[in-house]
Amino acid sequence: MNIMKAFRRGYFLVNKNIKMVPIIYIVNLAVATILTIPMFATLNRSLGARAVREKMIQNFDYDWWSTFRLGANSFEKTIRPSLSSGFGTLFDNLQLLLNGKFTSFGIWILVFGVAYLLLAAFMNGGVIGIYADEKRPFTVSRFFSNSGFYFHHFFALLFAVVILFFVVYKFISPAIFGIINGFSRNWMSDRAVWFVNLAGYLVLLFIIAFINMIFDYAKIILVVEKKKSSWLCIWLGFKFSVKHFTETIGLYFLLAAVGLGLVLVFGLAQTFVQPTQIVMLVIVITIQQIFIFLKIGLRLDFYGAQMALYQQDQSTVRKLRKV
Amino acid sequence: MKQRLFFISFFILIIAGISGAGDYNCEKVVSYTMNVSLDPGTKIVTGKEILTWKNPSDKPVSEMYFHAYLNAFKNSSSTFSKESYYGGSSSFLNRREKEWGYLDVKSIKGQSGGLFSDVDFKKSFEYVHPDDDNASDETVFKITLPTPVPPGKTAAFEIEFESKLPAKAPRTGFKNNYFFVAQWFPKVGVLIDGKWNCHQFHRSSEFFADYGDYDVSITVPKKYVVGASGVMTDSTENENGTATYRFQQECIHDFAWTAYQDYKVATRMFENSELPKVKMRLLYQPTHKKYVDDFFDATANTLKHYGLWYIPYPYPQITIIDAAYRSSAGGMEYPTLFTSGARWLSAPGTLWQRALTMHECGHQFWYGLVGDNEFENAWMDEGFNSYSDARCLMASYGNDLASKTYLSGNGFGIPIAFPYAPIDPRLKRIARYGHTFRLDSMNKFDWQFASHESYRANAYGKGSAMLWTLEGFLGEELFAKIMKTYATRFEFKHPVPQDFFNVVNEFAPQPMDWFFDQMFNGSGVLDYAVTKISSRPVLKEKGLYTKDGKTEYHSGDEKQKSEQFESTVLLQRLGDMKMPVDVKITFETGETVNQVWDGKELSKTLRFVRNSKILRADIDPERKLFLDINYTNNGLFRQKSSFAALRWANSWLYWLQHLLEVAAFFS
Ligand SMILES: [Zn+2]
Repeated sequence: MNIMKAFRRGYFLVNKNIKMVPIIYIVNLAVATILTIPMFATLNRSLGARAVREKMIQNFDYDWWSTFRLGANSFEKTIRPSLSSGFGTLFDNLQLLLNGKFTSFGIWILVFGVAYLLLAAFMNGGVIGIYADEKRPFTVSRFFSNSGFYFHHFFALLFAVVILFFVVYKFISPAIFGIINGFSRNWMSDRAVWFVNLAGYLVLLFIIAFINMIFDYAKIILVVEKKKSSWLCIWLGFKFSVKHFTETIGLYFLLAAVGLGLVLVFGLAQTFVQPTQIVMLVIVITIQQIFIFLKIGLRLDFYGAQMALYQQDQSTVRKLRKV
Repeated sequence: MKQRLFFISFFILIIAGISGAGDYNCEKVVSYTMNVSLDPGTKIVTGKEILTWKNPSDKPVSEMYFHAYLNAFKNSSSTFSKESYYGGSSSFLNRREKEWGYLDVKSIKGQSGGLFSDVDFKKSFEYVHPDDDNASDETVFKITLPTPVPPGKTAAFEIEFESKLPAKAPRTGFKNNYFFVAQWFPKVGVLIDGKWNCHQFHRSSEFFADYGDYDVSITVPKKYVVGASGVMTDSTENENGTATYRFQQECIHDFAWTAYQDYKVATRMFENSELPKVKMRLLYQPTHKKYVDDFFDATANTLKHYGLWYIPYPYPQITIIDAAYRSSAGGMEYPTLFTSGARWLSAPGTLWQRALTMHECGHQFWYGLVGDNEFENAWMDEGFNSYSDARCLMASYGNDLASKTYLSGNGFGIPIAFPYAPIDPRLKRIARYGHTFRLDSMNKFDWQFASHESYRANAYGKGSAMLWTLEGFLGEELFAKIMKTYATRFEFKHPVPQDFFNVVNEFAPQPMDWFFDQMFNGSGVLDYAVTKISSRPVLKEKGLYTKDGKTEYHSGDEKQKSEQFESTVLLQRLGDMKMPVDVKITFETGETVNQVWDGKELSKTLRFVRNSKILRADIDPERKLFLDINYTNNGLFRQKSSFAALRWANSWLYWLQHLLEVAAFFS
């Protein structure tokens, strides 16, 4: 089994069926726009005629914000200084993966997040179904019929993963940091305490990634092997991930590294372009939307590449059996 | 060794007596000579104190009041513990037996040969609670004198005490083998107009004491590095593996010290052609080497700006302590010594660490030299200092940046600064506390505010905003004179609010009592707004007009050379505080009109007829009135533009799109 081979094959699969990316992208944009319209209206009420709009065109005006947030309701409270930074915007979200505080942006954001999660689970069936049968040409109807076909299985997997992550955030993470805090509480060096916590986060990150990976393979096995039981597939996904640990985790982190690279490149790009005029705003919007598009593409690439890894292994097994 | 110490102290006292008398223009009410030693194992400081106290009043005094601050950390029944717990902060109470602290006065006697030679005061020793009805609080005690101390006469007391340091208590205590020793010895209260001003230890309050001389010999294990108020005048290595360091300083009103094996030490000189030289001694944590320059730079900038703006720092040395991580000692001021702090990882471009150093160093002036009563008028040091440190920060470094520490907590955190979200240092505290300005008036004792936050809002936020507003209203130059005069006049004194108001009135072109009445005694919320703005073509003559008995019809279609517009601007006073405000009207031609509205009515409509429409209207366009709790509503354009809203709505959309994709991670 070869990680690079799987990686390349994943790229090939995404590219060959590239039309799936805009479909998911449009769903993403549509869901986000539903909340952005009232947000724009609120901002426009606060900034449209006020003189402070001039400052808010140049920079994020801390003074305006300290007044605005006092009057802000529900999701309007999520306007904050970090939105002024390409990194801040993304780090706010990546932080959620590690701290699990999904209600921190308020109930409406959570509701929309969950709704999108269900939509994503639905479309995963389409994505993996298409990749599993890539010799047939891509059609939109095939994509959606696959989505519908696998949804009850994928919904069951989603249910399981939510329970697992609940355990991770509610019990495992506090346990890890409870232990760390227990022995490092009285350390004198802030640097040493920092690094031991970093180690804790790396462990947590690994656990999160590993669970995520098991469920990726569970979905892939379910579709590729046409299994009837999603619960069995979780077991098979786990077995496969552990049996080929270095390959599975290696591929996973290679893909994650690409994601991190995207975050860094696009975060940096936005620190150089400030949308203080309409032209600049158009450029910024373009950069941002390309990033979201690539981010979705990368999510599909996880399925493509991991499926390729799985199929490589299966073909070796089959060859061996024939011999 | 003892003989040698005695000889040296005698010698130094003579020298100090000769050279010091003229250097500090301070009324010395107290003199403390202490011999103390720290046992790092038991966390106990054992000490002997000779207190000489001069009755500064014109009345005889028959009782003496003392602070025993460390008893605040003795149990959950102290006023401090109760105020913390019922104020919603109970973390202090989670401690084991060895982590509580106390001050035990073992004996208190009249000094031999003095006014009360060998009188044992332990018999009349009694804990009292002048601020509340908490009979369990042991932070103030009094003794009764056999005969009164006559006005101007001196009484001397010999006190033996044991100070058990608490673990990580506010501003004092130990962490492992790190010791920050503050509010630690029996300390006499302040006699004002023949009455004792000696408050208990409160959660929301700092301290108050008289000026005098301190001569403290501190014995610690040899390997410890010691920092203390004053200047080290002697050090001796003892045979039992300890060392004794002697620190002395005239004309200070408190004494704090610290001992820790792992301190790194650096010293630099502060030099400025117009100011006296000061030795800056920094004790820093081993992981904070990269901040050494910042500590010195911020300290030097403070000594320079405060020195030139207000009064020169008169002492030969200043000691900067980079307090140990999670020791609760960071960010506090003591005469000639202050604690700052740092984190080994910080976001480039943010100023918090230098700002903290500046603030605490700034207290050398507002608290150290101008010795207000922190129990009763916290704004006179915190407000003055917040105003001054923001000024100093701007003069030295410019704007700060907004930042966020990701995954913060548990000692972790990745700090990121946002370069496109600058913060004007003048506004930082107002932005933080402005919304609580309505809760209390400033004229309260620290522990009487509605909440700890309201205490901070009034002491730091409103106090500094008031000074910025006065500066804006009276002009920078005049206000600089006021501040300098006030500082000079009340150096080494205990000013009260009226003293400052009097200096303002002395210089202001008109008495400013109307301002202080609203601001200091009232709830002092100021909020002016432009709420409506419009331009309409001037109404043309249309209809039937009778002139000289003849009625004629005007159609309204008559051509004019240029169209005229009537513009109206509605100004509103939304707060209860009244103040004259500048109003600036800008027309589309670029023409501007500046007016002053007395701000007394609830609203005022301005009307203008011009051949162009109005562009915008601004109240207080130069932002002089920092007390305005909502500056956002001060300026209004006639025409809307959605670009700013679009810009930020787009940033938000992008964030949300990404967030949705993060949610999809779990799918
Ligand atoms: Zn302060």
